[in-house]
Amino acid sequence: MHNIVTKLRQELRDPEYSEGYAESFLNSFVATQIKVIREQRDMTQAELAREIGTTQAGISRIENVNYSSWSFRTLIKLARAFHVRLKVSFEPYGTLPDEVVSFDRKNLERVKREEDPGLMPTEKSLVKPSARSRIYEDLFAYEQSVGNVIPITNGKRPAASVVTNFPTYAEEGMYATISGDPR
Amino acid sequence: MPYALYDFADEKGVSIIEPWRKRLTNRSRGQLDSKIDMLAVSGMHLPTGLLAGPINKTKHIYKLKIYADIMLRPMFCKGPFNMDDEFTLLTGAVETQGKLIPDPAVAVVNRAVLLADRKRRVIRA
Repeated sequence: MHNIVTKLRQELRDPEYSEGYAESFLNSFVATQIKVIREQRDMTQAELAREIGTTQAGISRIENVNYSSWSFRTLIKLARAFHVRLKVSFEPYGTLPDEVVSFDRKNLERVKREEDPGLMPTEKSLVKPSARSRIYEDLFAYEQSVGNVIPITNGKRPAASVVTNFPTYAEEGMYATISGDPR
Repeated sequence: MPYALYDFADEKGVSIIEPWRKRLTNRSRGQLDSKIDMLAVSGMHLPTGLLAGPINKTKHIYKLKIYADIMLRPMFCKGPFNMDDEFTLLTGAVETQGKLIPDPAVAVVNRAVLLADRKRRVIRA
């Protein structure tokens, strides 16, 4: 791999070579990423074709590394079908060698919106501190009312994270992300 | 998983592929190298359509398809000594009007020569 990077850094200094190389790599990259994400979603070519309004043969064609007639419109339809965003970006040639050697299935996969860790609510964004304290009190009262014993140490109530370990909270999604002691 | 790539070599141990590659235009050479590097980085199965074959009337010869200013079709074989993680470039080639030049028989012969003499290949520079 090191050999490829060293050789490419030298060769990409030539304008025509770099254009030929980069455009060929782009076609291969997009085609292969479509295939990889489709497989990651457990979709057949026919299922993906139905989602974006084309034929199975059409999907087969765009998953081939020799395809080059990309349409922005089709790429956006694919992004929607995969529940990801499309990113188009102009880049300097010097970043290409590292992209080439990191070309593998894992690096091409993308998580869908519903499982995107970047979109998971954080503790602070979910509940305002004042509301958190109130919810904690409600939870505590509820657990006591249903007969669950919550340990009290040194005269203090347990941290909310302890309270949320009780099954009733675990089943209630809205309380599941509360942690820390709101006292 | 990275793959090892070799060029078929003459009796002196010099690559026969490199002179062919150097005769191409810079743009075509860039397109060719992009596909060859992809083969080295990810093999033939992840990128669909990277290698086509086995070519008709051969059992082991594949062609790399590059749509450049001319239709480049360098011919490869898997292995031939380690079939799982190496490829050998047997001859440079182009396709004109559906015909491969040179004929795939050249690649078949080069592969046979290599199988008889392991020294007839060099690691791809």
